[in-house]
Amino acid sequence: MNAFLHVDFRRCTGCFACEAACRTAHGGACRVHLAFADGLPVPLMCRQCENSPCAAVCPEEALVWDKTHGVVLLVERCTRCGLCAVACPFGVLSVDPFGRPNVVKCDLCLGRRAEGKRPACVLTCPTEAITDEPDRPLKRRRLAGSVPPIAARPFSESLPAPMGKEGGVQGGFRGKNPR
Amino acid sequence: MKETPADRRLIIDLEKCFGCFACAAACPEKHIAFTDHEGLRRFRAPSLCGAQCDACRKACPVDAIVLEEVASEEPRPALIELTWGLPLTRCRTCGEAFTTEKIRQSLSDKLAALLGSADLALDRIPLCPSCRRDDEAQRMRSATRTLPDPLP
Repeated sequence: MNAFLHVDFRRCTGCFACEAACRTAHGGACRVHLAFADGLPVPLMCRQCENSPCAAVCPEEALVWDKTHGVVLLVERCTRCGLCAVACPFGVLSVDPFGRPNVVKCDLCLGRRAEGKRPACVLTCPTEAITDEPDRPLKRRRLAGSVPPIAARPFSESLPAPMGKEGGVQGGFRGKNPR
Repeated sequence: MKETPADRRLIIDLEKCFGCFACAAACPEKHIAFTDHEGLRRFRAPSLCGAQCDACRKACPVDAIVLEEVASEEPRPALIELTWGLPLTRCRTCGEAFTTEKIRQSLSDKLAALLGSADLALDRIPLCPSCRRDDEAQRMRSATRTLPDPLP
């Protein structure tokens, strides 16, 4: 599974805890952005795209994609030209020409993960709208009963009965075309 | 011979320069400055640079900077300030200037060649980052609006 943060924006209450946690964890600029569509919040952060426009336009190849770390910035290569910020279609990447860090972008809390901790926004979100576990949203929906659990209905039930038996393929055919 | 403070002439190729701020960010002495004002990104740089480095030339993504040695016997030209400007492009939705017209043009050409003309990244190039986020939020919400909320 590629590394990225999973967002279930229907659980988001727009409390800005993720933005506060991000600012606290990294200091300075925030890498999570709460955008609002008709008053409803949608948390947006870097999606760690595999064929990312930001990495494609970087003249120094300072942004590289990696399966376990997402889109990683190689700070020593970056010249702060700002092209990646213009290329990002989600507007979640910004470049600071003079401050530090030079590219403000979600790195899935690289420093925290090196210490064995989970990303700050994931731990802080009170409704678990942001998670780093890929199967968490589906598990939660199964618990809520809105998605049937896999084991509840064996797949054989949904298949048509075998040929020759009552209600089988032949029977179905006769039923559709009565003489 | 004593090192004179003004050693190298700074030559900017205005055909090539597309108005990023890599040189301004790279200069260790902060000699190159830029401001975005009234639809124009203005750069200011000294015509002669005494520092023994080529950080700005190395950083420039389009190689628009040439550092030319001034021969020691040549009479030193007066130190003047180079200024040049590039028009900014405005966001299609909110009208805020967010990058230069030349960068927008070169990026949309580059992305069209790389990703194909129907890509989302290409559609959002005329938008500023904030409007891109709003557009994305709108897109995400409208994609799920028809479904009833399955969660308690």
